[in-house]
Amino acid sequence: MLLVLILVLVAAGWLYSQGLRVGKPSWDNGLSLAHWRWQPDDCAPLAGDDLVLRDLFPLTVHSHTVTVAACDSGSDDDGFVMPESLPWTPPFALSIDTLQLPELGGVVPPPLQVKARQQQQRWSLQVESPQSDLKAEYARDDGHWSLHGKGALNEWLTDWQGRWQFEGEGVWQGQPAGSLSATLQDVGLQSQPQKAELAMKARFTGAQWQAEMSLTEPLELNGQWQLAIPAPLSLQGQGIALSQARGQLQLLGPPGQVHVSASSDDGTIEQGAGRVTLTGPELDGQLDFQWQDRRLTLSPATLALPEQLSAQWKEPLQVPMALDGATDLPLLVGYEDLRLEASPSRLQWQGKHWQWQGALALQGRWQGFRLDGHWQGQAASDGLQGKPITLNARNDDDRLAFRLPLESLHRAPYGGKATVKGQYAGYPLDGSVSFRQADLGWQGTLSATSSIPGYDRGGDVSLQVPWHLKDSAVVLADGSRLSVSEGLVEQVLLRPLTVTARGPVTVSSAGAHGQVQLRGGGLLAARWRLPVVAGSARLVGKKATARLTIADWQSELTAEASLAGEIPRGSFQIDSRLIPAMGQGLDMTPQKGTLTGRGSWQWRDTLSAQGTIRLLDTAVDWGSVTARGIQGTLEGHYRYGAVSLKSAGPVTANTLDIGTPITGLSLQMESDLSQWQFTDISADLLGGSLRAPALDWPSPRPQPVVITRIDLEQVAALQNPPAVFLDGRVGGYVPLQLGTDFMVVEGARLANEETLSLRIPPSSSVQSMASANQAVKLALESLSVLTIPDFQARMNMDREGWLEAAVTIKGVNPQRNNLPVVFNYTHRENMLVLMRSLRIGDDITEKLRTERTQ
Amino acid sequence: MKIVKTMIATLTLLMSMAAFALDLDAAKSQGMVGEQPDGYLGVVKATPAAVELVADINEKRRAAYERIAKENGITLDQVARLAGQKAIDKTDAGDYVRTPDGQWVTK
Repeated sequence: MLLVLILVLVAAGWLYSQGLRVGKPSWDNGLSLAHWRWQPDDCAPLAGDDLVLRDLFPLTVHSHTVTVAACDSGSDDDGFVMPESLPWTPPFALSIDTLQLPELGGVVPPPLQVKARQQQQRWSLQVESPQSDLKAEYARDDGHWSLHGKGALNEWLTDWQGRWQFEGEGVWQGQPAGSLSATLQDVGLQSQPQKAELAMKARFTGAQWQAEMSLTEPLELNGQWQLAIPAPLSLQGQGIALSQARGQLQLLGPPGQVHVSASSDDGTIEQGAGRVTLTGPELDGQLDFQWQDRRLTLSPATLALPEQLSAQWKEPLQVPMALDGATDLPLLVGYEDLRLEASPSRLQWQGKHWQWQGALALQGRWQGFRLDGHWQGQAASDGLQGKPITLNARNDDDRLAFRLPLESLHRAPYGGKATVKGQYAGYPLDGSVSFRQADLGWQGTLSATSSIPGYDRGGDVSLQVPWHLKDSAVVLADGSRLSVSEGLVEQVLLRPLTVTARGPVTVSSAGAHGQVQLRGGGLLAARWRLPVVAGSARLVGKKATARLTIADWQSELTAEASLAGEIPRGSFQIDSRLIPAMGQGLDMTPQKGTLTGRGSWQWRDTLSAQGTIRLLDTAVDWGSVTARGIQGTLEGHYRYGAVSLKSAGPVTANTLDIGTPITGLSLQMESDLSQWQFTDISADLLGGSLRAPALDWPSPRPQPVVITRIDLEQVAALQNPPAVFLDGRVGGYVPLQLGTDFMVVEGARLANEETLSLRIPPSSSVQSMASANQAVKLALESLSVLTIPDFQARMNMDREGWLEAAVTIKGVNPQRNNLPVVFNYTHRENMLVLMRSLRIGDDITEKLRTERTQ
Repeated sequence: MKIVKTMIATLTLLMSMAAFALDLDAAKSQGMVGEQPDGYLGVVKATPAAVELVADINEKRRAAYERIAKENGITLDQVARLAGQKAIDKTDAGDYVRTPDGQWVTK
């Protein structure tokens, strides 16, 4: 007992000398330590709580927690020698409820539960965590070992997901030997959608090892490309040194397939060779490469790449595989019909610094232009130096010359000014964009002058836009301005136009955001003018809303435009008073009224629009012809250059005064501006009414117009002075053909609708006629007062205006004892002349004509 | 009475045209503008000054034609065409006038 006590004291003393410190020792079915730590120096690599030493044989130890800290021991691991087996130990059983290992290489191990046991020189170890477990066994007598484990990857690497599993077995008696196999299932970064299935097998004997790795399923790199390993990647080595590598991989995507194979020579990976083969719809070519003496040699190759890119070099390219080096890179790069040749071309690098020196020549066709560009200089990681970059672009109509001097681009802060001169889309162009690197980012000014080709005079365009970059967007400064000077297009004078940014305007891939102010000085032509148009437009992404006002016309236009996919579309709204100034170029004068319009438009290859126009309480004059109280709604469409109009409901006018007042006019209409169709026509006229189911203008044939209850008293009242007094009502139908510039009446018939009366008052002209002839006197006396129960008239009028009327009047003269009278007469009169003479009371036409001949 | 009205109307027309006689005569003699059958001046050689002069005169002519049309019970177009014919007739030799088919010719 004394001996045991002595041994314990000696052991305790030795452990203390090794840095073991304990706290609150006690006895509870064994030696208990509330705290313990092993602290050989300033750092304590091991510490724990609640350690209990229950038995000495077998030695049974339990610790509630054990924490392993990462201490910098300063020891050199190179002196590590693999033992021939695990050492002999007395039997023991060690259990730890929670083992916390330190972070190692970014891996934060989860809390582990550990059970280790050795009994009859058979070792076993079991480690568990909430989602992983590992079991290892070792028999010291025959050296056999085995290993099994599986778990969740994100328990160890929080950014990853997937499951791992491995197994292994072998012999460790003298040199360790054995085999390992591991699989990773559904493994990948949690932030990325790509997931891989990996398998690895390895065999080792002592320090010699060889391993094979493969993808059991192709790895989806993105929605289009897949990575596959057609043959396992084979590696051989000794210790940490790699002695041979061989492998193949395949990239599969819509452009085609990229197959890469590489193999090092036996015994060393310092040299080897490989091949890249491109095949597929957009890929073509073969690239052989080899490496030796830390130098990679790429054989001459011609490669077709996706997006119509190509690369070619005619001499072998030798690239040092070192942090410092230099190589000649005479490359020919193609894109569609463009060729960019780098020759001479030399690339040097030293650590993270690199420099390219040489000359670039660009030639070919792009977007219909023949391009020819040159540059000679140096490009380095810190800037550009050399001659100005020049690029000329030409096609049959346009030519542009770009130039970018590099004086301020060789070191930060960078700056410069690119210029362009020439002609584009018929526009002469002289512009520049300056840029400089400032504290808040890139900034500069875009300037350009041009003139609009369609202008016969003037029309000079000026653009002045200070800009800066902010958050991947270009910000155009407040006050940025596009202006067009006054100009002349044929005989139309276009007043100056300006577009000015009010506040910053941000332009990015999401569109433009900001507000601009518009001011157009208007248009002036020989017979019409458009007054000043002013307003503003708000840009919100790919949508713009503009509000324009023509103050002189009390007109307001609101328009909206947006992009639906690639198709511009929008809406508009017009609200305007109708005022006489609007009729300046017309033969009619809008005196008053209100016009409102609503509609939408879109540009799908060509402009199309549809909308509704409403006229309210409108008054229009055509000289002395006046229309009042016009109201109506028209629906209009514009597509492929054609216009169609159709009334929505009746168009009405309270009065239409053509010398004879027409009231209550109502009709519906439809037109393509060349053919007008009026339907459901009705109006009140001379105490009666007029109806027509349809009238076309122009019309190929007569269409009936029905008139009823025409009051002859009102007809007679049109005479000035009155030559005859009439009473009673007539009606009938008038087949009417409306030509482009004529009117034809064919087979019109009128008849009395009630008994008519006629009275010819005595006048000097009547008395003169009566005195000239006895028969005429008798006739006039018979007709002077007449009651007419039967009146018939037939009329025709040709396109020259000649009216032929055949009239039959059957009546009685009440002043002559109801003397029966039958009166037949025909009449021929040019109605155009008659109407003109009736309406031009003072015969101004003839007078002006008379004056003209003088 | 008709004769009086006619005289007044004609006088009004002539006065409205004469109000711009100086500028107009110079423009006509330089071949910049000419009379048209529709009663309005036309631009023969377009310059900003010519367009402004023609637009100004035509605006006033139209106002005069409209007033005359209303006073005489005829349409604006009728008055304008009558006045146009008269203006062409009164155009000096060598000045431009427009034919009904739209051609500019010197009278």
